[in-house]
Amino acid sequence: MSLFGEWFNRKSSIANPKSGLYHYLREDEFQKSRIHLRIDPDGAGTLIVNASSVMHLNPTAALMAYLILEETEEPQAIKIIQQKFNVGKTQAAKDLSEFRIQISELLNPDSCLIHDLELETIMPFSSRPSAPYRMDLAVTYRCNNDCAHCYNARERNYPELKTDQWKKILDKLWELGVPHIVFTGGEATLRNDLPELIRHAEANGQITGLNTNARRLSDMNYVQSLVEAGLDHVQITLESCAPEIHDEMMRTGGAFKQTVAGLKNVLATKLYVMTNTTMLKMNVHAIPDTLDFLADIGVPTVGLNALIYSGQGLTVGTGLHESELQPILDMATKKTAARGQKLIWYTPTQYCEFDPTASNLGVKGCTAALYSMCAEPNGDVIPCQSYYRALGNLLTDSWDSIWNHPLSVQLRERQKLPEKCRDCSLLPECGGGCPLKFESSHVPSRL
Amino acid sequence: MLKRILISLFVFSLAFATTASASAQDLPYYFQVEKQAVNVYWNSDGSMSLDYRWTFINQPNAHEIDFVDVGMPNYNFDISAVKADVDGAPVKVSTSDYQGSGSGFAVVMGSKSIPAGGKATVHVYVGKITGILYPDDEDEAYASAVFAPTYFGSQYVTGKTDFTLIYHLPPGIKPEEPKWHPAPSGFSSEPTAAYDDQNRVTYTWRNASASASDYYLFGASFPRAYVPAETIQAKPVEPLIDEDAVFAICCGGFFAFMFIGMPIISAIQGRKRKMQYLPPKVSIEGHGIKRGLTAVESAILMEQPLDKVLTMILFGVVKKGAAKVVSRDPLKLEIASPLPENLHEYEKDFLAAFKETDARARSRAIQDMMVKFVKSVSAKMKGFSRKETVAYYKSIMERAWQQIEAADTPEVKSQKFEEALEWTMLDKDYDDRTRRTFSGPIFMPVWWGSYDPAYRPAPAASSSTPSPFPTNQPTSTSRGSLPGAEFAAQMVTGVQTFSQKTIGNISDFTEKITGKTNPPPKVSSSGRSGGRSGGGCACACACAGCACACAGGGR
Repeated sequence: MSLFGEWFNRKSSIANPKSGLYHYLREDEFQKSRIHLRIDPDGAGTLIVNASSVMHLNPTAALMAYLILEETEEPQAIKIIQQKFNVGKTQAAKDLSEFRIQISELLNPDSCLIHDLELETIMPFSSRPSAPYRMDLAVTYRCNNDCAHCYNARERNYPELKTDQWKKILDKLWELGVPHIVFTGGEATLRNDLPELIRHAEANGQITGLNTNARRLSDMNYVQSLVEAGLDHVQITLESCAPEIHDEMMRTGGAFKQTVAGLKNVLATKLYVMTNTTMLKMNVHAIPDTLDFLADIGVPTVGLNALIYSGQGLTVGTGLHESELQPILDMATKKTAARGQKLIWYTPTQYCEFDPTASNLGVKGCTAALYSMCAEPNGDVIPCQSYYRALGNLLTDSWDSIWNHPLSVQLRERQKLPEKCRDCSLLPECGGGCPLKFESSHVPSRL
Repeated sequence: MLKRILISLFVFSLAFATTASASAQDLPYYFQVEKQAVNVYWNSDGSMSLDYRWTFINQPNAHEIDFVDVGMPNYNFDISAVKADVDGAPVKVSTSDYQGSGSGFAVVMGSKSIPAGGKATVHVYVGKITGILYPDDEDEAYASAVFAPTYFGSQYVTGKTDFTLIYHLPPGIKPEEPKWHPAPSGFSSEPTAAYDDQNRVTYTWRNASASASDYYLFGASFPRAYVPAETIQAKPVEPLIDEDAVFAICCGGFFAFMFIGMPIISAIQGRKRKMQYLPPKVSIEGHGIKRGLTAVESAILMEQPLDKVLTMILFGVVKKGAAKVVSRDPLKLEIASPLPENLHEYEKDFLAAFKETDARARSRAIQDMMVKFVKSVSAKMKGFSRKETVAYYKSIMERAWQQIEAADTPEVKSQKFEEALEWTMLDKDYDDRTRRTFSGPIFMPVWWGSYDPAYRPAPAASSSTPSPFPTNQPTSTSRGSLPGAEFAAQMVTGVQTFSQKTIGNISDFTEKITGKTNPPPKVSSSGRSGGRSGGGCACACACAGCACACAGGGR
């Protein structure tokens, strides 16, 4: 079901906003904010700042946020509020004035965390949006690396959509209220139309990111073409600072050299850059040195994750047990803090095995078919990049049939969890960990 | 003109919708609803899904059942998510063929029309209807889910109906949490509670001899927390029935309802489109309480003055035998070597700062240490509720005081006080409360001599700790005493030592820290919320807990 039939910012006549997605850019010499306000048919809203901070607004807050973002003059704003709500002028003016201050803080990307923390909190993963906040577009499954642990479960020559079809999908996602697009694969840079797709998404108002092995980014001209297209962020997979380990894991000689060159190239641009490293038996001993290496070359944000139990990851046998993660991540936390870097831990784990909140890594749970989803090269939607069960096709099926597919609902509502999770008090945050892991009968309890 | 069944399907969910259409044919519609099963799914996203299954037995010489109009509670449903079948064979649904009033759709029976004397089961599934939950009148923590299923004009219905209605409550609800509303007449007073195949709690009402032309209202309430708050509608200020619906009801023969409802509807026309106003509210996903913080970290969170926070850290390192105050003015520490192992990072950084001999370098080092410390608390609080966490640690502080105040003897009272010293210091009323609580003497902690060079207890000859300085470990050392008022004064003096002798002007010091932990907005606004007080001092948010450092004692 497309909840959002009408969109875009309509500055010509400010009135009650129609349900839809509204995009605003706030930029000055010091900072830049990309703001998305998603307004639901019932008037409630979601405010998303730089595709990272997500805040939920009641109908009053949603309307006020819209009026403020539209820079509506105060008398007119109060009039509109009074038209929609049964409220006196004095009360409306007072609340609008206070909300204006609050929202200006919330929209500041460098805003003090305490302001977030002062907000009413609701349980993690308890929101039920009508569409995800982020859609990963696996535009191709072709890849110029050959990782032994790759989670890809499809053939490399999987059918791919044409450029115009991807544009249509981008438009549909915008209509559905999806503000954040991540191009991935396979290796997305093998699609020559990538800059064109980025440009199209950015023109819609979507924030764009790229997950890549960065080998093609070793060509600075290519990097510039992505930057000029409007790309916002890039995530580069680097498995080790040791060339031999990286190349062995990628099963591609010379990959390290190109990847590091690409990493250095993007670090020289205005792109938001982060790396990702999959911690496996093959590279875990080199993680401390890898972190030092990344700090030395100026990577501001470092990501770590565990083996994904999909594709070749199911059988590779190099994964670490969840209970082995704690000391490594504690070390990584200290190292990155000491070097002023941000550490991101990706993998949803069972908290009884590894609790990321105890290591101050934040709440990590599966958000598949809830806050994020993935489109395959042929336009099929799958719950996440690694969960290869199609829910429907973005070009041919209704969004409602995809979003409310039994598997979507099962993942979203955390059904069919392991028996041991049923009465666990940690379940709201943990969610049972990665469904791929507990659903896989191939995964031994200890690798 | 479409020929269609004269079936009025009324669906209520607090607010209503209805349908009715009249046949132009000569043959009357006349049928029995042998069985009616309704599954009502109250979903975790605050929406409702409906599953109807009617088994019609069309009477001989009656009009074929060729269309069924289905009214909906509101317009918040997606027709593409509505599915229908007749005996398992899919049939179309259509909003354009719908001839009832208000919101709804028609089941287009087509080739599956039920002929006179025929029997068939019509199944309809409506995937998602939103805007159907309301506050519970009796308990504001509960949401009310009220629903009245379809019923038919009595002139078209014959026989009894085996009627089952099942409520599937939102996932996660525990059996003891929901409440059912009084059952309609003819149904047992209590529904049967069970789990469905998705482990959702269900309430089942059944009446094997129901009438398909009777109006039955079912209801249950459950904790609001199981559905998004924003999906619970404001209480309707008027009957949510529009003029068309009233007309349709009238045609259906409900004159009594009509006469009651009409004057009310007329009176509220002018404001019916306005929503009830609630103040703007923003929420984020996050944890509740962050447990495991130290008293000093809690002090940051509680926005205690930074000089008090530093004093607390000083107490901490002295208690652990990591340092000894050799001079209060200027403050000089003798630092143990090796350091005890149980020090927190901020304590190590604090001691490292005091190794600086140059006053300016030391002040800078303390600033850096505080910036790092505030940021670390900020990181720990990421995703947790500050409000709930502060309340939690205030309760710990209060419990600490209560234990001290409940102690029978001065010795026990002093011992409890020593154990919980840092927690009691979180109290903004610390000084006065200390004076009130200790009308008599306070037995000084064994480590007090390491904090106050002027205090000269007997040497700790038999200490078992490897630390060179007395610690809070039990020893045989005799303990001196001070009047409570004097002890409290000592504490204040300690804080002032930091404020005046070590870090200089506290407002300047705080600004230097908050400038890094929470730079002020570049564009000034009309004011900041929160009403920071403190006699005009430069109190600024230090993040992770707006470490308010007004020399006058904070907010």
